[in-house]
Amino acid sequence: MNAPLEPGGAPKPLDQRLSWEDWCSGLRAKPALQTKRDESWKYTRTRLFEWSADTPPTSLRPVIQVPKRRSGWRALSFRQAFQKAPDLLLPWVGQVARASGRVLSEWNTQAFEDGLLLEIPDGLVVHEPIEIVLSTRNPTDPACRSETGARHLFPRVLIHLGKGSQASVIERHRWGFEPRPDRSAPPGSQPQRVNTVTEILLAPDAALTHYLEQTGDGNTQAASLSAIRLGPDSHYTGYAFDASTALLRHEHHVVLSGPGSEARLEGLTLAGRGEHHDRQTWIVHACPGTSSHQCFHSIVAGQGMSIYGGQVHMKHGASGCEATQKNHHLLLDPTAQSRSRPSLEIAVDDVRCSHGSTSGALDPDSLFYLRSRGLAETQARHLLTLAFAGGFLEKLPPGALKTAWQEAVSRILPGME
Amino acid sequence: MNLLEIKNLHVSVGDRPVLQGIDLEVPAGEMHVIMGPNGSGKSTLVQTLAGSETYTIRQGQVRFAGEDLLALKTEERAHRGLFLAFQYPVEIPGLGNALFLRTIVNAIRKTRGLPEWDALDFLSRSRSALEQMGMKPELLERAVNQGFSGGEKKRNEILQMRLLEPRLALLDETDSGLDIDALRTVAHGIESMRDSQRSFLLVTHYQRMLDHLRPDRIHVLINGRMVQSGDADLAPMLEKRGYDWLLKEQRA
Repeated sequence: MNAPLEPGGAPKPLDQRLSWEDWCSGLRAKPALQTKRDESWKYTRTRLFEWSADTPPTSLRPVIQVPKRRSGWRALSFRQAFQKAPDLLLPWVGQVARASGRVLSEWNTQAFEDGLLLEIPDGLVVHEPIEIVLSTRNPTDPACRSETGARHLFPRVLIHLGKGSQASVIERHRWGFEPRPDRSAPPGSQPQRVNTVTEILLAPDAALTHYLEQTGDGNTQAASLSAIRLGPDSHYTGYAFDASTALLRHEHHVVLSGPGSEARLEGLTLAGRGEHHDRQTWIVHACPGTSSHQCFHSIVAGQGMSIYGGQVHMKHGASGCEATQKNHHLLLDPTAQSRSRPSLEIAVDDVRCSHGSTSGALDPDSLFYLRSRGLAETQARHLLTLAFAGGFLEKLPPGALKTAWQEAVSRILPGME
Repeated sequence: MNLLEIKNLHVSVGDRPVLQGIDLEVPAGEMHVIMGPNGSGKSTLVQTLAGSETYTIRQGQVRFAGEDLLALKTEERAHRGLFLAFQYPVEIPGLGNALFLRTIVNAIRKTRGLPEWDALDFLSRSRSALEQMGMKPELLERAVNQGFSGGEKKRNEILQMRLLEPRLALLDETDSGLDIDALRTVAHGIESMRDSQRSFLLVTHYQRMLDHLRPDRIHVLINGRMVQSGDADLAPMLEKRGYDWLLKEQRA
């Protein structure tokens, strides 16, 4: 039953004489970044790749925080795992992301210095959410206090969920500097450039709720890849929230590689003034009886840009599958822009697929309705914008994170309106 | 004293004239009804009074409690005590009905110098209004009007009227789409709000809701003009004879 989760080819017997450096060199032996010419990069390619060429050989290490109390699960750095749990690390790094063969994982593989391995063993049900913080906002680290010099970061995360295990993981990316009241970057600061790759493996019957929060500042240029591979009858639910980042590209790659597996993706983007947020999803139905549902919302302020590109592939033989794909852009200003590129590639007959996309300003009839009840225009607009965000927030399971994201949206929106 | 005074009001949608010289006076404490065939301009009149920007005012004056109503923004009209129950209330996904109702109640209370209601105040004070309107409490938990039946939307409008306590309520076909029991409940909800200071302007096609109310005046609007006014007896006559005889009189 493990077959669909095998990495590319059978794992080779581990060579005990292999050093960390040798292993990394092996990973990096393949050609580095290629400029992909696929359509998913149509609106972001130039801006994001401007900095890839000058990536320095050494990069700043992000601060990675994980809870100290661990109820049966493990968190190891890659270097630790290389010694203590090589079978969880070596065969898998790069293998989940490789399925999609995209630029971001190759680029990260060329440069990461370490990473975080999380293991939820077979059968374990973790009740408390596991929170991982990837950040440069650490006042005790001199490198993080420095306000000059371009910084490049390549955080890497690998998560294993064993058979029948269940967990919630909150992954927080906090780049740039602590937000200032006017959201500007500190004087003299250089852009922080980040490329994060998170690979997640779900064994049969495993269930993961994955929360991804990405925030930065007016100088941050961030790319991130969440690559997930699902075994038979496993369930993945992903909630992605991103805001306050000058340039962000997030790719959500999901391979439903076991029969009966299910993925649900929800997201909210707040693209503030002049910000550029690009979300791409890529979902492969490789087995029969799999289903995927995605719904992404974005709110875009003046001069901002929000992009949604969604690809669903129904592979040959994947009969009885179901996929829905929705995205909604709310443009707060005539100078706000959005792009949607939904696509379905279906190589089998017996499937159900649908997609829908909307883009526009606030509904004038709804504005009139609220104003006729005594709300000032700014208040009415704010309430309707919050209501739009509610389309995402209301789907979150009750808990501290839902409250935190509701508060974050309420805090950020007034600056966008 | 007249609470509402409309003089020679001309309104158009784009280049198309809809209202062509409306004169109307509604004294404080009275209930007036506007009837008329489809497309005669009834909804245009109440929407214009509420401040809709869909319409262009070409000519005329409207005074509300002595103040120039047309110079006020939509929300300012609500602050002065004007309320419109919509013919087609909008659905607002993502905005909870309870939050919406509490927000609008507090917006109005603030302008009246009254303390705002917190969530608990709102729940306790809205409960009786909700019961009187025959509304299930779970309608507060849902998004504004989303998935509401036609009758539930209309009840939600009257619930808002009860909570906001306006001086002038414009009710645009509030009786349409209601079954017999709902009609009685809604009519009772309106009737119980009547007092010597509060006025009502109802738009309707049918006599049936008027059976539950005691309107003071009935006005007939045809092709953007008021062609007839009378007491409550005019409504059953219109129900019986239709509008053709008035159209003929108008042509003659």
